[in-house]
Amino acid sequence: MIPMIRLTDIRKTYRLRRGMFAPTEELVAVNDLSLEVAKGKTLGLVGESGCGKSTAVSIMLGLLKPDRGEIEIAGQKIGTMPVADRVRLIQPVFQNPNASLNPVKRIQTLVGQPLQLYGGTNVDAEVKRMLDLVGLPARLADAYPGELSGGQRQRVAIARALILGPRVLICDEPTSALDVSVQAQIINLLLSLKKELGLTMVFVSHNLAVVEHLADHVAVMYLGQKIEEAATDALFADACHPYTRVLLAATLLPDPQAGLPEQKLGAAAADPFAAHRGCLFAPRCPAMRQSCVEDPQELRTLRESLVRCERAV
Amino acid sequence: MTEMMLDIRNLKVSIPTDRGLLNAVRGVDLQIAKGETLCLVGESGCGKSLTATSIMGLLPRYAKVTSDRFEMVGQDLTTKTDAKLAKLRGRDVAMIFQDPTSALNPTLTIGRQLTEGVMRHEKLSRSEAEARAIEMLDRVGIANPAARLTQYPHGFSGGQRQRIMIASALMGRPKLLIADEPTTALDVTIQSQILTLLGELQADLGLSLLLITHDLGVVAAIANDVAVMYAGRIAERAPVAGLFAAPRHPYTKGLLAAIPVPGVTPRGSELPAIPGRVPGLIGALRGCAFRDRCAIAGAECAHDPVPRISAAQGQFIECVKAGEVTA
Ligand SMILES: Nc1ncnc2c1ncn2[C@@H]1O[C@H](COP(=O)(O)OP(=O)(O)O)[C@@H](O)[C@H]1O
Ligand SMILES: Nc1ncnc2c1ncn2[C@@H]1O[C@H](COP(=O)(O)OP(=O)(O)O)[C@@H](O)[C@H]1O
Ligand code: SF4
Ligand SMILES: [Mg+2]
Ligand SMILES: [Mg+2]
Repeated sequence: MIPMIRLTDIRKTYRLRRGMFAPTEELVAVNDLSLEVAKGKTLGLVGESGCGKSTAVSIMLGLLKPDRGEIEIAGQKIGTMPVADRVRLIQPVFQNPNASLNPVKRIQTLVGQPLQLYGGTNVDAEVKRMLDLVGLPARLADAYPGELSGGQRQRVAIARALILGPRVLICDEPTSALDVSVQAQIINLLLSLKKELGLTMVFVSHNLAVVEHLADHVAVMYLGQKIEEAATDALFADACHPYTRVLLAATLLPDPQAGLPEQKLGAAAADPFAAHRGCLFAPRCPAMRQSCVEDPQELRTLRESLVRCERAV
Repeated sequence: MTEMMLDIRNLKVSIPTDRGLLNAVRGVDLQIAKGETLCLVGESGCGKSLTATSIMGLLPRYAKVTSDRFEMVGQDLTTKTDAKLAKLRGRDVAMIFQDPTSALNPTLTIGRQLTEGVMRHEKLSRSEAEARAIEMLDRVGIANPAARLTQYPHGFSGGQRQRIMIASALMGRPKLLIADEPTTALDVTIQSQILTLLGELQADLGLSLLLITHDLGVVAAIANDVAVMYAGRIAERAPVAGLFAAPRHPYTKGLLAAIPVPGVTPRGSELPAIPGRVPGLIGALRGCAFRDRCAIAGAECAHDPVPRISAAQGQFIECVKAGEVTA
């Protein structure tokens, strides 16, 4: 079966200066990234800030052109697809709904806008149906974004993303700015939408507990590379990559007995300009040895994971 | 008797707005013993930051602050003057913020920023102040601290900047450290390093710590005691083990239930969310502020004031039905 989302060997670099008078350098934001998501499944994409999650998201959405690689959504190449087709296939939900919701427009207008823009009919009826679908009372159609709570604004953003009937929803940290009580409301909504509409989802988050709850399988990124991928159960029960293990250990649970993880990482933070030979995690890795930095680390199968680490056993 | 580093009763903070008086802190009691870590937790907009900034005397002039008692590091500040507070600030009491970037001046060297306060307050010479800065930077895990003094903030990563902020807060050898969401902007790996550091500092220096967070994982990892804040009041105060094992206030229960826990919460199950939102704080709130969102609310919840059920060691719950909440 054709996967609903397929990324093949994506690479994206930025050229920038580290300081005003510094020479331009190449920053590899995403490298060698391949992903597949089957219809109706949810992929969790995790990793520290700056590891390339949002860049990968923009590329999937066709909003950013990769330096190389192929993106197919429902078997069609996104690079050559007309925008009108693309927006009916794949839609985003971002962390900060305020950025995409014009504050001087009413909710009615904001939710209906994509349909207006792409020649849909019955806009009013459709907006009504969408508000109902995302659990917003119909009376809010006349409100402005500023009158809504953070959770309600995120529901508006979801309604807007769904009004064109896409088959894929890409959520980039959709609950990261929300309180846990509201986060739970949005997670419940996404779960029920996925079931009701048969949506395929990518869920990007730095919160592993939330990803564990929503995702069928999880890809872990580090400095632009996928370093591990596995079914959610396997990843949480038996992570193979040293970085995944550190990440899991650092995820604090609401359990006073759990305490803080032992310090295992070097103090150095990830350096996005680091030379791209060998393992990028090596400078911080508790299991590192010389060959890790000297030899290119390829993805390989280990137990139920795909892992990029020669030392993982 | 345990020595109290902070003892506040009935703290109120009101801010005039164009829509009326915003009663953001509506009678908060906070006590922190020497060497204790108290976590203040609650949803955003509950008044946590205003509570902290009013303790530090850093509120804008138009904010109205009152309290029945305000004692800090052994001094009675109930009828405080700004001058009296300013003297404590940067010495016995220090504060660190969520965003180290905004708290560090990008145009001054790390050395300048760390030494300025103690040179003024303690009349240390430059070399004495620099020696202490080196000691503190070393303490917070900044490698090669002497060489770092001449560098500017932009040369450091987010995690390092937060360490420098902590070093800066430690310069005056405070007895009480107030940290407002100190790890919220950081990656989890850096977060656990910073929390470990705060725990070590507290043990080594006998610091008392008031840590504000909305993250119950952080609370579980670092708190001795927890104060759960809702709509400007403390809804529940309890030792950390008891709070997580048997929360008694419906709000505390709701917050804990809403977090998915890997391996415990069945994947894809509906999470018990708290319906609705934090109420607006303009004007008076009568009765329990949580009752619109509370699963067990009844008519008696509208009675004002809400009774406080107290237990040993300063524990309390403000809920008329607290006895009915099952774990
Ligand atoms: N427009 C841009 N110009 C230059 N660098 C960028 C740009 N967008 C992102 N980056 C860099 O690319 C890397 C990946 O960023 P991003 O995809 O936003 O990561 P994440 O979403 O995982 O935090 C980071 O080092 C970031 O600084
Ligand atoms: N300087 C200010 N002027 C007006 N309103 C404020 C100010 N500071 C905070 N508030 C309001 O007071 C309430 C409590 O804020 P805050 O103490 O920052 O909450 P928390 O830290 O718990 O998120 C919020 O409704 C906030 O919008
Ligand atoms: S390749 Fe080496 S350095 Fe990289 S994660 Fe594996 S053990 Fe660590
Ligand atoms: Mg991002
Ligand atoms: Mg705050």
